[in-house]
Amino acid sequence: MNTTSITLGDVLTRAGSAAPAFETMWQALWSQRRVPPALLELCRLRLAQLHGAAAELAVAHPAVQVPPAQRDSVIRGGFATDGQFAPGEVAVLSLAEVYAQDPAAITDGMADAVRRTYGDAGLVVLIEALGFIDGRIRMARLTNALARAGA
Amino acid sequence: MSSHLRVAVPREQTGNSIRDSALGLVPETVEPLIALNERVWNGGAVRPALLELVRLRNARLVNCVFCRSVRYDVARADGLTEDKVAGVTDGYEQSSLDEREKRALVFADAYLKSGGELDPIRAAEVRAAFTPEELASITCFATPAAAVFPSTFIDSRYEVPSYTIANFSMRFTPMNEKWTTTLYVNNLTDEVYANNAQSFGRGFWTQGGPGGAVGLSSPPRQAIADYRGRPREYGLTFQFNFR
Repeated sequence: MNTTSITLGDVLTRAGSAAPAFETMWQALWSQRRVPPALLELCRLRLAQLHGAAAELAVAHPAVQVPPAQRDSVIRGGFATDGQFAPGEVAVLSLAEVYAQDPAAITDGMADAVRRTYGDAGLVVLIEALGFIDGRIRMARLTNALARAGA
Repeated sequence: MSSHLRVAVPREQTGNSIRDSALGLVPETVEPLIALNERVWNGGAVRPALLELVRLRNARLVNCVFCRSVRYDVARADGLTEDKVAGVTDGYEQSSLDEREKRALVFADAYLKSGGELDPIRAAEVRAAFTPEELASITCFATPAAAVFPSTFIDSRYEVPSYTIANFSMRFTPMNEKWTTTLYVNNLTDEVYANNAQSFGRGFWTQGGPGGAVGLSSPPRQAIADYRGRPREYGLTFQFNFR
């Protein structure tokens, strides 16, 4: 079974005391309320789509519910124009899209658009969460590649 | 130059470099991040000196000037040398780094450059170099190391002032001859100008010294790094057509 960002913690239990600290950080991102966890889940799906991570797209965060129409919109890449999302949500998803490709390309305008709805703390949470989501997607794929090499 | 910080930092400064950065605006995530940072350096299965090479490889690939300039105290205490650091280049396979260090950088490159994809041959080499516990430790380390770095982009980038430089060249090609010579002078007036700049102000990596979860071998700083354009250069080229 392929590892995903959702299940990566199961693999990392061998990392000693760093593993529970890593999972605590992960759970903290999903339990905070500055940026809705459902929106972070949509960011995860968009990042997975951009990475071409099929296994990642096939799973859902167990504690977060997202409307199927919104899920499809994000995966399809139509979130900016199909009317499914509020402006603040579009700002978050747009920033996530750029983050996945080149964090240095995030403009002041993109950051301000997020801040207008979610504030400074929300922008900080978003960038932290994108870092960990994107990182865990990558690490899950790398874990799978290493597992295949040992098979 | 014009700039603005995208977010404020906490008004109350605690002396902890992570908590006092923009990350401290979110107490519910900064405390777990501080704890994670301490554990990955001190509680994993991989020595700090090796982790530092992975971090510096990350810093090089994302071109973080400040990240590349600092050295973690725990890594130095563990035997990190600048000779080792010098091996963290794109030609590290030919460097004096040992095989485990090179495989660690292969792991880092796969994570950072290839989205986690790694061909079977190199994957087998990485598996052979590390135990599952060590790979898990590197994973726990590399993910937040890359995740925290983008927090520096919470600071706005800076605009480089416009500049004008004059270049001159003169080419001489004799008739019915197969050769050409060119005299050139670039930046004729030896203008001093910046053609790139990067800010590293108030983010996590900008504050070093005692008090942080892990010591950083650098003084506190908040600065802009300017990259100077090339000074006046002159030369002569000679071209011969052998046909």
